[in-house]
Amino acid sequence: MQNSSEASGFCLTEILDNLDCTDLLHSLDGGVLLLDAQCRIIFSNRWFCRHTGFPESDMLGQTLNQLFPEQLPLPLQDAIETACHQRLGRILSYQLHKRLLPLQRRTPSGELQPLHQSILIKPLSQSELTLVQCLDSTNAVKREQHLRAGERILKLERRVLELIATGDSLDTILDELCTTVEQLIPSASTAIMLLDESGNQLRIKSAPGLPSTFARREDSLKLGSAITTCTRAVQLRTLAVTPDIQQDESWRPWVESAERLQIAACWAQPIVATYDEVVGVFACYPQTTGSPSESDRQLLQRMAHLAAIALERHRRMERIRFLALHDPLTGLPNRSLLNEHLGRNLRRAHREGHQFALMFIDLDGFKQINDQHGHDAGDDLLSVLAGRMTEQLRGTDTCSRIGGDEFVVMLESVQSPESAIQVAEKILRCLSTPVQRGQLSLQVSASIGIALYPHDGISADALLTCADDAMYQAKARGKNCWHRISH
Amino acid sequence: MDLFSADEHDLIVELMNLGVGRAAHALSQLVSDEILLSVPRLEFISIPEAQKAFHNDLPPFLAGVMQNFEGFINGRAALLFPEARSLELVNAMLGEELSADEITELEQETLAELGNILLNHCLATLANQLQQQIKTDIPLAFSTSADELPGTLNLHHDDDENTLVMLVQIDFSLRNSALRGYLAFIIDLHSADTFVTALRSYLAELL
Repeated sequence: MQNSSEASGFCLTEILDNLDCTDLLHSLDGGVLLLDAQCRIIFSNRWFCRHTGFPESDMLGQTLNQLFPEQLPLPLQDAIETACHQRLGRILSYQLHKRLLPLQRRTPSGELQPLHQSILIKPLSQSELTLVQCLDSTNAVKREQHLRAGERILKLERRVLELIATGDSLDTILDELCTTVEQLIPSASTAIMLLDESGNQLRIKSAPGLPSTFARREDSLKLGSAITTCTRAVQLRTLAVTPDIQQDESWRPWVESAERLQIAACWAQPIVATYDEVVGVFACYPQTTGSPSESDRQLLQRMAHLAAIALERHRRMERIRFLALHDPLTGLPNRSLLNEHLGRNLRRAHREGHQFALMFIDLDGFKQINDQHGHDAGDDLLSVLAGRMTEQLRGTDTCSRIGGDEFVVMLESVQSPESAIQVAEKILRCLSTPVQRGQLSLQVSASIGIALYPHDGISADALLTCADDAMYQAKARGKNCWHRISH
Repeated sequence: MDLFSADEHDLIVELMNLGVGRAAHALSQLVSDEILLSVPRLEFISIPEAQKAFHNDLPPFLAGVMQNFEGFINGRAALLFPEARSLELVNAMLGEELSADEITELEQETLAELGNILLNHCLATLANQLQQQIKTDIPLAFSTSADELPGTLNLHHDDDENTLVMLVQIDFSLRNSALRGYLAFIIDLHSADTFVTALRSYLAELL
């Protein structure tokens, strides 16, 4: 009795012997042609007939050159002839020959599209025939394009993340993001717009590829007044697409300038920060009409996300910087920031030869308020008085809190000692005005020491010491007054 | 190996240079950029020597293209590269700046065509100049380790006596990329007689 492997071996041989080779070639998912020594087609499988549109009878006896007159690229003609005449096997790869045979294939939705292919040409042994095999690479090409695009995005994303991590300026990072998208969506300009503090107006923050005239037009992007692609993105919190701005009513006022800049469409992706807060828009302006492809959408999403990260980081840094340089209770600059401003003002005053004033202010009777009414009352009082003092000053002056109830005011420039004295008197008045806290009326006064640059000192230390000494003398003279040490 | 005289050896080197030069021309046209190829060294060695040379000279992982040939000489030809750099070569050919981490099927085909053009030109030039016939099969791209290379190239010890390896160093230079590869022609010695005869008659005609 035969064992099973022998039986199946026997069967296999028999099956293979009886296999209809022609049937097999017809059922292949790929093109097969047999050419004779004169390059004429002597067999074509059904795949070829399907993708060329020629019935087999039209193909037989013809060369590919006759079948597709003046359509075959030279390398293909050359490879076929070399194979048929000189018997050299060839491969023609898709990447080196983007166009080979003019074949088409149907997409699942029924559209005809060019068939990307590679071709193998094999001279057969023991005969003069040459086998031409055509492989459909369309899907491989798609995969490859996808892969390459993914790699490019990753690489560019990495660069942006590096910029964010190394603490490059926000402008640099946002410009880089715009440039990145412009590289990946060719012939499109981009802009990053941010909502202003009121949350009502979009302002261009970055648009490296667009002229400044364009930046001005977007300046008028008020939410609520006009609905544009970008404002829609903010309101709907999702990608807004205007495929053709010529057809869009809201674009009417800017159609001309858009034409000049070859802007045909607008895609706007909202930039969403933490807590789902929309902080701006990533706008993309392609030169051709149309909607973004799936990969364009993903790209815009990812870049808007990176912009959100960069903005978030920038905000945090600003916050950290603010906290490091301001007094948490009153929000006034602290000693560090005062020193910074003082140093800068000294250099400027020295350079420009102007005078400026420093006032050391110490509250009179603040300790009693704290003792009698508690620290909360004292804190509230300090906050109110800080606000009042700031109101007496110009934006360029500095009012800082440097200790419990000690403040230093720097008047950035003064015409004369008298103008400093006037400010000191205004401060004395505003500080001694009672502060109402519920039923309670809290009142303190202040002693102020004044020092003037350059008369009373030309260094920060000298000026501060002089003002401090003057303040003590004001205290000694009965408080609620100012004093300047006469030299 | 002293199968060939010094003159015959020189002639083979010259013909290989000619073939490689033609391949460089064809490749340059294909990618519209200048590709330079040169042959700094050529040697005939036995299979055990070839295995030793592969082991010593080649990096541990290789990418290559292999093609069978038959005619006045029979055997198998292969183009071999350090695997890590084969992708760089494909990218340089395509003018791509980015390099993927892994070679895709399309890039395998491109590499196969590169090897195909090179091997065909070398073999066809050899045959044409010697007024002989040669037929080549379609190329096959592969990746392998240096240790598995003899198996991949189908070098068998029991055939040692009947097989000769022509190992050719080849230097590529294109678009700021330069790399060294190897061409290995594994020649069935049963056909070597025709080869020697053809070389001799070519040299005789020159005199």
